[in-house]
Amino acid sequence: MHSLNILILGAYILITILLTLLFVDKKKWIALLISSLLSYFYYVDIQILILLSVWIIVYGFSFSVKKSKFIFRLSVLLSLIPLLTYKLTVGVGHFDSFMSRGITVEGTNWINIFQVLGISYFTFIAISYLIDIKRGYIQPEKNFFRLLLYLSYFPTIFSGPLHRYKYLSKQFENIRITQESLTNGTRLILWGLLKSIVVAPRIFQLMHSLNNNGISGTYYLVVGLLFFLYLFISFSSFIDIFQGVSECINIRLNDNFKSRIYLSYSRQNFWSGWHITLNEWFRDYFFFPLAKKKKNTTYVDLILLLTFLSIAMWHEVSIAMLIWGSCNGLWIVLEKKMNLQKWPYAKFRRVFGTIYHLFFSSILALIFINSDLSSLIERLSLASHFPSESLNFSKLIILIFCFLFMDLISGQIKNRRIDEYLASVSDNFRWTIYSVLVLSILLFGSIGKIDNYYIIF
Amino acid sequence: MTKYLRSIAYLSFIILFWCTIKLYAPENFESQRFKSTIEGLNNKSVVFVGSSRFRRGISDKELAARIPNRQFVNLGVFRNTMLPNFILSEFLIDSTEVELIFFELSLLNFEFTSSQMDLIRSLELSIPNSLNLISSGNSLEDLRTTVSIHNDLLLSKLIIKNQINAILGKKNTQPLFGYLPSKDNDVADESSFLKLEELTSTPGQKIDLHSYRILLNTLIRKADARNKKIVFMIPSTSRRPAEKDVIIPLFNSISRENKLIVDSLFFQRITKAEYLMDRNHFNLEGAIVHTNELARLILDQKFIELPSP
Repeated sequence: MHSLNILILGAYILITILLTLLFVDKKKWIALLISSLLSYFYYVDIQILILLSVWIIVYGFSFSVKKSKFIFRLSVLLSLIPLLTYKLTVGVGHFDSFMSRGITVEGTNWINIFQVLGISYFTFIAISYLIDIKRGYIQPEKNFFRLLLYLSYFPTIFSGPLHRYKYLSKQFENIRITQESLTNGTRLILWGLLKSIVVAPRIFQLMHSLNNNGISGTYYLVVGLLFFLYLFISFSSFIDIFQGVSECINIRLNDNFKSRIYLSYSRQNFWSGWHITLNEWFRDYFFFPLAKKKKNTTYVDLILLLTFLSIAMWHEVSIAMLIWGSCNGLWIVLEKKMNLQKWPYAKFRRVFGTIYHLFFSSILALIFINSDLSSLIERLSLASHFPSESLNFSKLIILIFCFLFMDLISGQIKNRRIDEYLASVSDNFRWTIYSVLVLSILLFGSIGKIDNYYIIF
Repeated sequence: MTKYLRSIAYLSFIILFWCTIKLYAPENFESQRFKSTIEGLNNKSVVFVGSSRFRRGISDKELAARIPNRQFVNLGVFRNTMLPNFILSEFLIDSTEVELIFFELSLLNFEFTSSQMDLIRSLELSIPNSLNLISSGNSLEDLRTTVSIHNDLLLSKLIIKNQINAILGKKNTQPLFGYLPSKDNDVADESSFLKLEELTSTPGQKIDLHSYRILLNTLIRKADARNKKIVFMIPSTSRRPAEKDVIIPLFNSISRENKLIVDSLFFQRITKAEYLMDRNHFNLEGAIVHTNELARLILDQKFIELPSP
């Protein structure tokens, strides 16, 4: 599994900026292509050929997908082959494999060939590109290499967000490095670093410590809750950091999370702000085409359930994920039937809704991380035990302080990004926030790589 | 103009604060203790280099009671893996008088905790030097490893939480190395114990052991050249099945004179759920039994000989 580190991040920004100086405005995208391919090659070595083959397939078929349904289906299927092969052959137990990092397995196993960084990302955007051409939303890109840049743009390949071709290609023509772009980029990176090297690892350590010290019974839900928070913070930190990297060269990436998504008051509210671009992808390219055929509510609910099952299977083809996907789908369908939005006492509904959502999210998080459901049930049915002796109170206080600081700022940000929010406050307040961010990182940061759990998918 | 001055003032404050902490923070108490423990080693010293499994499962006092003519020192460190164990063992061979080193086999990964960084730095050891040894044959992979280690080094230099703790006189809640018994017993089954059959069975998947062998052979060669002995040990418990896929073939590939061979009596005596603190570690009761069994094996295999009565 690949982790990001600060040196690579710095090197990427520096190389990209230096390369852009070599090209005239209209050709600056070539600098991005070179730095993206170099960075991607650094991580995946010869496996870059998988990306290149998807690129050749997509480019080759893009001019004829409109002409024939067969060619369109064939092109989508061919683009999907590496991802499908990977997903169908990779072992079960993503949580265990995340915890067992550091084992070098010989590369002779052919299945490992498809275990390549960003495979989900470039496959999804390749398919969206082909479908958008088929639907007549865009024209096929004539420039072979501009399409490659779309598929390999480094700030997005680690873990998204996903973008439509139309959205990114326009911005590739407008690459500029200005004081404003660098300032905004740095703000986002700093914010992402707070989350990724201070808050997320501390939550992970706490979860790990409780998990290894025999937490059981209903208290085991605390592990689920901590994993839920960890997943959001580590994943969204990656998005912040790469939005920042991209912002430095004046390319604005899509948002992938609503701030404070952990305080969602319903599952519908949660899914509207969690991994937004992936859910939109499934909505636009899977749910809508199937749902539009019939307006019958039961049919639409079934398609919704099927969409969540597909999302689950994309994570991992396993019984546990099948149950996880079904629970998510059924939960949404149930909420729709109950029409929670129309219930009285809006304020109470929100507070109660948040508790209710956190409770069930913790259960789903436990299903998500336990590939062996019988051991999950066994652990939950044991006598309740909370290993308080394993808690380090000073670490816990630091975690609470950092989390509350992050939460407080996230509450202020609302639907903006941190860079926009910081631009809107007074100079003194802005510099106070910078100072707290930098000092929190220097005082409470953890040594190691910037990990994002979602990279394994 | 005022805007720039304000920015400069804030930045200067942060830089000045960081520099002051870096310059004036005393050395961490545990680093000092580690350094003085290493300095106290002599030609009768027998050290155990490993992870928390050694810390929880090997009582140096119990060993000293069984084998009185040696000084036993447990240098186990939480989360130590192959590389930090290698770096420390290499230093012990090169720069101390230590007679015998017992080395715990574990996974080779390239992640270091801040405690490991502190202890390594207290002995002024270099991680990148050790990396030169384990070239994978793929220059890009080697570059990734080097960059990753330098990233950890950079962060460990930038982050000042340990210095702040030292200034505040705050000791670590737990000592960073050495025997650390626990009376807890939260495990009801024996599945995490290594079994004798596993040592003789064929591993489930093929693992690249090239880098591991280079590290082990380097230590054996260096120890031989300095008339010292290094003995590799297989951990008695493992929480992660994937770890066994690495350490069992590795252990089996080591020649008899450089490993502590475990027998059926050893497994029979140590394998009890009540001896575990958690799935990966012995508790106090288990540590006593485990240590006594190790003492028996060490004496039986003549790594140490008792003085004649």
